[in-house]
Amino acid sequence: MRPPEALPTYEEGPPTGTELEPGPPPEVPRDPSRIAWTRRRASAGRIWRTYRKNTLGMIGLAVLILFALVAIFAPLLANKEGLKATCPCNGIPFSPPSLQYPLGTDNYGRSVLTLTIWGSRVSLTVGLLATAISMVIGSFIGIVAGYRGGVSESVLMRLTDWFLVIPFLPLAIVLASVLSPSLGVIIVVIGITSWPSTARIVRAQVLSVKTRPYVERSRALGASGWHLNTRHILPNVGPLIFANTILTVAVAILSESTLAFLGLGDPLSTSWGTILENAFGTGAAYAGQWWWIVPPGLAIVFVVLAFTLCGFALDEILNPKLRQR
Amino acid sequence: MKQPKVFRLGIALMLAAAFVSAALAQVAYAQETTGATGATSQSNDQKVVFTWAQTAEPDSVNPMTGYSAIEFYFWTASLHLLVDFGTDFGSEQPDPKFDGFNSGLVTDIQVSDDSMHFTYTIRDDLFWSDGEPLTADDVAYTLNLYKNNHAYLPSTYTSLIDGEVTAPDATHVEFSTTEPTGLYNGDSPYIYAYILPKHIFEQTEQGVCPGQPETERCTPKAYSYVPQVGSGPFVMAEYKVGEFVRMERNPYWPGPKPAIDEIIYRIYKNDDAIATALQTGEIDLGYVTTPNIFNTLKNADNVDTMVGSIPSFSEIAMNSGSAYEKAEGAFVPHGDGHPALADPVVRRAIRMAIDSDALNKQVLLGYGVPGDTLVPPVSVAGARWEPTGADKLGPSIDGAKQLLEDAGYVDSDGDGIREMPAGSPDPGRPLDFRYFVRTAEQTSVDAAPFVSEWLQEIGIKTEVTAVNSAKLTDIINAGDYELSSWGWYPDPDPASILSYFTCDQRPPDGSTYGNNDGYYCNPEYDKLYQEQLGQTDANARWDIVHQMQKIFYEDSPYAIMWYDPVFSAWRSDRFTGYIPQPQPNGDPLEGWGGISEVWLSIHPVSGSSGGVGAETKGISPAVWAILAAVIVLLVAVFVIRRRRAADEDV
Amino acid sequence: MGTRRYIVSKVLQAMLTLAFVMVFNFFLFRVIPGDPAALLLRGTAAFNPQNVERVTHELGLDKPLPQQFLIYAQDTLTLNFGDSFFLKGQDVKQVIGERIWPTMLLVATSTLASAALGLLIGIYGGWRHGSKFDVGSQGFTLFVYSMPEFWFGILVLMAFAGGIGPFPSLFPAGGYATPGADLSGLGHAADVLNHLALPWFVLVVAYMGEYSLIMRNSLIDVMNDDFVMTARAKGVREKQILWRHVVPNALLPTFTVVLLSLGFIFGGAITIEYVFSYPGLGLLTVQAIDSKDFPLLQGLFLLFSAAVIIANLVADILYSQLDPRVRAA
Repeated sequence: MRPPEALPTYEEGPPTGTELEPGPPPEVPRDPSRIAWTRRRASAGRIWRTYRKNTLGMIGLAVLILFALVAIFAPLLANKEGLKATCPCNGIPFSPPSLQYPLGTDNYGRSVLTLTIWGSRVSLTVGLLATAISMVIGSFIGIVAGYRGGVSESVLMRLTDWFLVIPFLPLAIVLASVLSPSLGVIIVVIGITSWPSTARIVRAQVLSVKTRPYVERSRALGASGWHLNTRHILPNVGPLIFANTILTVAVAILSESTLAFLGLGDPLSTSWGTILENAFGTGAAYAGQWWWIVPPGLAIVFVVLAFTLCGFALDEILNPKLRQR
Repeated sequence: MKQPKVFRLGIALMLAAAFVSAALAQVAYAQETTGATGATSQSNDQKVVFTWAQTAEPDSVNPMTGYSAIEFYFWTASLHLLVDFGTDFGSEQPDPKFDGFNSGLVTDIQVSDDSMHFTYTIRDDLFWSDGEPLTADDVAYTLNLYKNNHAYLPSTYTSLIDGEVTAPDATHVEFSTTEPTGLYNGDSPYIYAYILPKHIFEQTEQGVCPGQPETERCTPKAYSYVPQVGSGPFVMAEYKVGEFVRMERNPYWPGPKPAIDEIIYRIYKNDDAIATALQTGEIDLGYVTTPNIFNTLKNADNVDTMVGSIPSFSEIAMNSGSAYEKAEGAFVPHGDGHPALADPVVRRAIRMAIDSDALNKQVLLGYGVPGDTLVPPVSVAGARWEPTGADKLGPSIDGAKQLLEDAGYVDSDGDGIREMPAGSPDPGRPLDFRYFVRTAEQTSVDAAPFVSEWLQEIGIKTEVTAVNSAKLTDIINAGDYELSSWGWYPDPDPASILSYFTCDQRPPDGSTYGNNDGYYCNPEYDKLYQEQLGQTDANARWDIVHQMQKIFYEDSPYAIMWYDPVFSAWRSDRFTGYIPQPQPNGDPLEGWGGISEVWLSIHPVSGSSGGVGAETKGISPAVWAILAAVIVLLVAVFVIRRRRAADEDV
Repeated sequence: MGTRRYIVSKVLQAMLTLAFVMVFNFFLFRVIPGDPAALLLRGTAAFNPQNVERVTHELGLDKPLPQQFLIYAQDTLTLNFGDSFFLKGQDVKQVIGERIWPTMLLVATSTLASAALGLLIGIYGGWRHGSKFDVGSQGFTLFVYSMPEFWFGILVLMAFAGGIGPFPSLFPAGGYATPGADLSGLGHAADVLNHLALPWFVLVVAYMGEYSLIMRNSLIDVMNDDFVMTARAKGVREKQILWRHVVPNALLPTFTVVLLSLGFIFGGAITIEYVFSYPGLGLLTVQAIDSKDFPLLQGLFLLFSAAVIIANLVADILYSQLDPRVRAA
């Protein structure tokens, strides 16, 4: 399993927005408390306009939307009964692709196409939820450590380093095999084994944002920690966390498929990983039943690739150093 | 520049250090365990080697502690039982085909009138592989050793023995039992305990493990017993954990000379690898567990296949009342199982709704045997009772529905789920059951949708959850379940499997183990169990055993889904002489019993030299050498060009 | 002076981390629900409460937790990991020692090759970014970076070991060496290489994407630095600029990543060893978890973590030697 930290860490924060695509000047509202939101919306707009110009990023986004649609509209695309071993809609087991079963059938005669379509739901959900957990924990720890400094920072960073040291896959395997194999468990396991890298990145960010003039001025004016964190630090660290999130989802989906393949997933649910586990476990490799193995794997590749492309595109936009590519 | 050099040096040093230490560790431990560095040679032209494989790893090859099915294959080539198993799982008689060397150690059994004193006559023509003669002393010593040291499996069979087993002379052993019993009278091969060499295991009791390095902490149970001293035609010479077990000929074997010189058991990690190995000729015979792969093997050239039945079944266990049975002895009611399952009618309906035939077809692709009673088809002749005609419970959805209706379990609110009748412990409670399947057993997961659906049809809702085996054990002990799926591996003699369902075998409180995971408690069943233990007449005993099975079947704490198949495949152009147990379709290597005749019967197919070993696959050494040279050349060119570019700095 | 203090502090940190891992290791496996003794015996004729009790006692699991921890701590410090639960009579050190070499061989060689290939592709792609080679290689590496390595492994297994469609059945389907073949020297080496070929190939392809991506990004960063412009102005040849100036500086950030991934060597190949039945530590881990073999799991876990810790330590120290900025910090 590749280590979760795959990218160089940032040394500077996100740009102040001047290098982005200029857009129409924002309407300045009368109400001062809405000024901040208007500014943020404009900033988001600029980011989107810049993003639109990134071909790879757009391709990634398009693929993601496609898969999201497939997952959401799964009931319309494929018969849910087709997931059951007892469905009368099933065909002859182990048959290669045909008109009726475009991707062939598995050991129960279930259509591999149906399995792959419905599998998207579980794989994507697990990936997203696990990432959410990881992000929340990682960001919280990163912000607290970066903001507080001192002893708390040392302790939290030690903790992060310790967790980084423990190899991911063995730890995930142990946890998943110890606890009951349900989707919830897998989500939690992936979530709590992947927060350290986020925490590190976020902390580095917070450290740099903390010393920005406007933060210091705010503090001089008597702003509380909560105010500083929510109004100044979080919004500046936010986009970075978001870009990191996208990349973490990719890793989370790969992790889910790996754990499921090793037999630690929920055997009663259908995810791309469990399809592959079932295929390999019943000897599809030896029997040369490629139609069962290729589709779920390709689905994983495309989804992960899409998330990666989007993540890289966002990265480029938000990190000035990377932009000159 | 300094930097790149340090960089390269750093990486190179670290890798080199790691490589060297790993290689040293490997060599050190390899030599410590085995004293040899690899499997046997084929280039020794005269040696005939039989290689077979499974995915099973032995947990221990010492009969004191081993209990997995795989190690029995080593013991059936190297150790004797008192009364051996024939291919029909009955007591084996000496066969002139093998000069009478196929049967157990016992040639005669004398039983006292009160069935409490036994005298066995031991044959006097066998030798241990170090030249020592096998005598009654070894028998007495072994039985006492098993009993006093609580050997895991063997002590089950010595539990009725009272006090010590004695050997008044070199060919007789005597012992008494705590109660009258028919189990030791030789009608069935009950004592499934291999006889060990006294002069070897005596030493382990003193802390010396023969054949092991001095530093080994030694007790009879800790003794790894390789290289082995055995009395059969072969003995274990080498055991490389995770890789192979190699057996050599016993030079002092007085019986017919085997046609093979060595047996090698290889451990493969999965069925694919075994199937491929068969095709390439790496192995001569292999066992697989996946029907899909077996089907593919059936079509392979030069490969013969067999599907047999083995004494092993998978069941749905029902919590028959851990919370509702009365406290007695160590048992206290515990858990929160559904009260409906305390009613045998409900359990019977569930049994009727489960179509074992369909399960066998769908889940095992038809290769197993549909399940019904506790004693599998493969068992000692006469032991099994088969439900027929009116005795048979289903499969019938309508019949099951009728049973439930008549007993008052109706669906009063029209939601498709029946409720408990008035007057029951919990009237109106819907029949909603937790159903646990095990992740370790794919078939248990695969059966779930079918069982679930059938139960749905008869008005019982199930909630299927997959858990790992450890968790399920806890759940069962706590009694917090309604339906669960597991399996048993009964002995050919039914006494042990029947013993697991007496009242005292129930998990007694919420946290201790018990065999009786269905929490079945029937005084009549218990009474009959004791009776058959004491029966000296075989037929009378089987009558009682049949009665017990009938009672258990009708009370249905278990719905037995199927009896497992055993899939084997072998190269038809290598060896022949396999003896399936049972006949005609079973285990071709006769995994049950004492000395298996198969090891005396296997011989190379005429025309082949047998045991050719693998045609090694892949690129030939010459090509590898060229490839390596090319790579080294490329790297050298690359490095030189870089350095030359560096030298030409402005 | 500063360097020595730096190194000492790093070493101390590493040891502290190791201690944490030890404690974590112990409690992790003790928290497992279910009893390994019962699990070992369930379903066999040996399963009864007496045997379970006996096995529990023999495994030392019936002692109170603090006492178990003390025993564990003592044992671990003397590198005594006890006997494997499931493989009775086998010392954990022995079991691990026997499997270490195949994993080492597989993962070290594949990491070296994938790093070398990945770095080279990244360098050329970055140096000529925007070119066809760059676009093509980026596409390829991204694809490969996104695929589950075990899936690729199954496909390779089907294609080259099983032989499907146009692909020849060229290599063995698994294992480390051909059993029963007594080959020595070159023959044995070739046999091992044949078994190593497919898993090695899968790992190289699966992991080179990462190195390539990082190297490319890093190289592009450095490419735009001022000193490169200066060198060009001075008339230094392109090739020299690349290899003498840009690459060494670009290597620094990637260097850490490469060394860190070396630390993940042992855990990384788990799924590949599983697919190819390659008898190394990865496969051993999967088996140990299946059979709830505490001592074996603890030994393996400690080994994996120690490898990462040591790799981190070495990376930190070497990095400090290479990057003067760190040393001064």
